[in-house]
Amino acid sequence: MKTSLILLAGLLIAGNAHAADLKGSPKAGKVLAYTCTGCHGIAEYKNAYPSYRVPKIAGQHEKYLLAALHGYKKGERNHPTMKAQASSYSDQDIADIAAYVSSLKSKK
Amino acid sequence: MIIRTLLIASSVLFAGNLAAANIKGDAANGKKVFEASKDTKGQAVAACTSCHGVGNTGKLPDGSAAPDVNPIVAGQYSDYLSKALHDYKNKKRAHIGMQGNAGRLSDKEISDVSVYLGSLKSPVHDLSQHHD
Repeated sequence: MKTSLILLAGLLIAGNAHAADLKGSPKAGKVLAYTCTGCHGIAEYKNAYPSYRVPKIAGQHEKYLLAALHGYKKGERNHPTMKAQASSYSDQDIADIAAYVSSLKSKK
Repeated sequence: MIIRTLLIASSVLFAGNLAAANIKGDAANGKKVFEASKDTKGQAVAACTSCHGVGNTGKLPDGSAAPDVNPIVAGQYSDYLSKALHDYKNKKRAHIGMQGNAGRLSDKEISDVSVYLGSLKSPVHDLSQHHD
C-alpha cells in the first residue's frame, strides 16, 4: 500500500515535470551561450529594421529568460533570428542557457 | 563640392543612426509613470513597480523580492524597452497584462519611462564582459 502511494506520487511528479522544472547547468549553458555573444555580446549592438539595441541579457532573471526562449520556440514571440535559435534548442538546452546567463555578474 | 556634399550627407546619416539608439524622453516624468498607481484619468491601475520592483532595487513596494518571472527592466537599453512597450501596445507581443499596461501609455510616456529605466544601474549587462 505504502509502495503504491510512493509509486503514484512518483508518477504524478514525473507527469508534472515540464520545461519549467528542468534544472539548468550553468556549465553546459556557457558552451551553448557562445552563439548568443554574436549579438548580445557586443555593447550597444543594434538590430536592423527596426533599429534598436539588442537587449542586455546577462544577469537577467532566470525564469524570465526561460519564458522568453520558450516563447520564441513556440512562436509566441516573433524575432526571426531568435525564433530560429530557440527552436534549435532542446528544453534542457534552454534551461542550461538560462541558468548560465542569469548567473553572470557585471564586472563594472 | 561633391566631397563636401558627401561629407554632409554622411554626417546626416551618422546622426540618424545615433538618434535611433538614444531615444529622447523626460526621465523625471518617466519615473512618475513607472510608479503611478493611477492613470491620467484618475483610475486605479497596477503600477509598473508592483511587478518589476521599485527603480533598480529589485523589491516590490512592500519590500518583498520582485518575482523573477518578470524581467529586470531597470538598466535595460531604452530603445529596446521602447520597442517592447510599443509591441505590447500594438499587440504584436503576447502578454495580457502588459498589453493593457502599455496600451494605456501615450507614445511620449513610453519614451519617458524607457529613458528613465535606461538611466538606472542594475544587474543586467551585455555578454561582452564574459568572452574568454
